[in-house]
Amino acid sequence: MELRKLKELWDGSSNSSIPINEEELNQILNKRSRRPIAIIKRNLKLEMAFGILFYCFFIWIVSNQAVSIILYFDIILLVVAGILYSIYVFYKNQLLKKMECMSCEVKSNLSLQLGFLEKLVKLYFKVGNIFVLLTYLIAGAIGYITSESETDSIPHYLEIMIFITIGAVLFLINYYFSRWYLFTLYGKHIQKLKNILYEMDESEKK
Amino acid sequence: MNSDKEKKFLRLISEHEGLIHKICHVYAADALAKQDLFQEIVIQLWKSFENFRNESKISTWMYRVALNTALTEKRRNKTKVSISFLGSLKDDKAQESNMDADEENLNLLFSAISKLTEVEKAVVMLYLDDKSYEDMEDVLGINQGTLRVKMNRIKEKLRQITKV
Repeated sequence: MELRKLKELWDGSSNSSIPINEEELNQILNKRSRRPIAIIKRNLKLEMAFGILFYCFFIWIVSNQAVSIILYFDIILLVVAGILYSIYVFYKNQLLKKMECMSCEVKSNLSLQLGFLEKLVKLYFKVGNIFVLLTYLIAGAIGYITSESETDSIPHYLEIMIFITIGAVLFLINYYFSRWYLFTLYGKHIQKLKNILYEMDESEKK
Repeated sequence: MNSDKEKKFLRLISEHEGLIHKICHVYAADALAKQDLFQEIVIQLWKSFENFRNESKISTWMYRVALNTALTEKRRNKTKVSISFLGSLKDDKAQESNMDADEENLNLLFSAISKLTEVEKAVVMLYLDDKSYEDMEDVLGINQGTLRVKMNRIKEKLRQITKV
């Protein structure tokens, strides 16, 4: 088939379109976007709602505690956790806002998206692992303080060994699970962006 | 929604609807996927419309948004959405039963384009729409030299697929 013929066919290919009307436009604009970044943005809102819910729950638990050294410890932890979570949500939100520029050149938008998506995945991975480690250490510290007065049935060094072993196992499980989970969630999309960008750059590098 | 803004947008979409339909034909595999992609492109155009300052041509802006959407869209397997205007997107089965020579050629054209890579599809679409290499660079962000090399490869590929 001649290229001229292809062009003619191409020009005529959309002639059968029926113009879109106002009602249909409204119908479309009321729909939720299914783009990966729109989904991540919606997930962040859900994550924030859960975070606030959990935070309120912990405030309620702490407010019902009797006055002791543990109470002060819990209050400090709660404040620190609240500040850290707010920083995390703020940073993630900023990343998502800057993540795409739909009216920019395709190549620059895809590069932007890839860069920020990789940053986001790293953030998820690091925060997830640090959170598990910190939670475990804090739980251990609380357990240690509360059981200080009790008589020990097992030697102190053995307690520490068990604590470290369980912690290491938990950390490793979480490490590999979050790697697999993040790859399942974002891996394909990241790879797709990389392939497209590679193809766009291919001839330029040669 | 601002009524004036909406009317302006609607006029814009109506004037350039063909462009969106072509992108949907090229990037989506079936009627439902085309429907999904059409809606997604319109949503993204609407979101970007506010910031459109006539710094670039309307068609360049539309191509950028539409291609950015098509290239990063998450394809879904099944959907139940059905909107009347999308009936204009020809159903594959309906096409088969009432196919004249031009439709057959058109099918051949789209089937040939579907064998190209995502980037090649974008390049050939702009080429078939008579865009200059300067315009293509403006939309895709790929330099003109690279675009020429790519276009030559694509022509060769298309020639082989359509058996000129």
